[in-house]
Amino acid sequence: MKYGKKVCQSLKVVRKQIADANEIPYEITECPHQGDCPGTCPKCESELRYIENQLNIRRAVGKAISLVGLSLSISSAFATNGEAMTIPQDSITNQTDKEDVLMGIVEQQPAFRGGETALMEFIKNNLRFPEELQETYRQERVILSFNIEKDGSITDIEVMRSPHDAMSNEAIRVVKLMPKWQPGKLRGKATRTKYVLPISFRLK
Amino acid sequence: MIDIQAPIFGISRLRIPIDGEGVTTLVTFSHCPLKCIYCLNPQCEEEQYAQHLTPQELLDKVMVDNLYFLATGGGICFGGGEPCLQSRFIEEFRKIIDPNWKLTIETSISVPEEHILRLIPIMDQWIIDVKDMHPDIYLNYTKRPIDPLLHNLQILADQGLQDRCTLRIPLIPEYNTPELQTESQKILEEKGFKHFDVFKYKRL
Repeated sequence: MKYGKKVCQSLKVVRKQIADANEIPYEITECPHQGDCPGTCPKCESELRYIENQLNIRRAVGKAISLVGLSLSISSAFATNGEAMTIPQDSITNQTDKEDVLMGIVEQQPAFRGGETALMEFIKNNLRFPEELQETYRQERVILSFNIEKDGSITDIEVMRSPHDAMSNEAIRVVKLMPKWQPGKLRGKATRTKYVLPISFRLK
Repeated sequence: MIDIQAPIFGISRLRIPIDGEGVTTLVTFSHCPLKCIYCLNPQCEEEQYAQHLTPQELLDKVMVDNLYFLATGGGICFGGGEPCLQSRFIEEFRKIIDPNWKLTIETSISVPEEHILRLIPIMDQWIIDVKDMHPDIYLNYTKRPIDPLLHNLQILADQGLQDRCTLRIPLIPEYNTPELQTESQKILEEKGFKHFDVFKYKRL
């Protein structure tokens, strides 16, 4: 894959991570741009401005913004993606090493069955605010990353950001309860994909 | 703010992972004290390519990627030409940018020490184009004596900044050999430097 296109795909992942961490609706889609890709295009630029505007709106109403350091792994992911896109499909899907996970560079993103609304509903119905934290915390967010395997199962759950271990444990518990996802697809075949999920705790 | 301008002949966005961690924008300044035979950017001495910008004007141009810089731990890489000659400009620029932006400088450090001392507190990473540590080879290739390079390397070493420095040691056709490259690296290792980029120049 050419350098510009790799940059474009990496930046889409960054935009998705910023959007997800701040509960901004955003889905990765293909660019209509024809010809050589310089890493960005009018569509990519307008998506960046859209996310920037959404963050400004959230700041204006006093919401906390998650941004600094959200996508620190981009340089290593960039190299990993480059290799993954050029090796045969079977080599990708048969690998189990962490380094071989596709960081969101897939033609079809993995999805919770029933879509994003069903995912939010599932979290809302199962997530409990840790009792021991109810006096000190009111509204917090945990960010998890995990892999969606090609059979839709969830593996390698990691805590990217969390205010407290009790909240990390609760968020992990709920993710482990989830039914199998629809896996991401690359060239028509199910593939292992990394997914970043922000989970909000609100004390009622 | 001090009213200062710098001649800038290039602004290159969305570089991953070329100039350090994360997404970076390369800003190249005009003019260089060295006259290297294989100079990558000979246009840096041609005034018609330069635009004279204030720190605020440069910020307005690079701000477009603020979200990418913050999310990925990236920022600005200054190159050239010789960017250290613009230390006062960079110092003013640092004051007006988000403190989370990373600043990297790609330099020969073959400049008066005042520039190095000014930049030490504000630069996150140094990419130093050493070229060759043998005085006669350095003089032959750059047409300038090696003394400022040695003096400024010592300043960086004395301040314990070796971890923040990556030293470039090229194999320069017709000027040095792989054995001399290795010797250069050893001399620098004795000063405590640990990160090297050892490669070969190609004629374009």
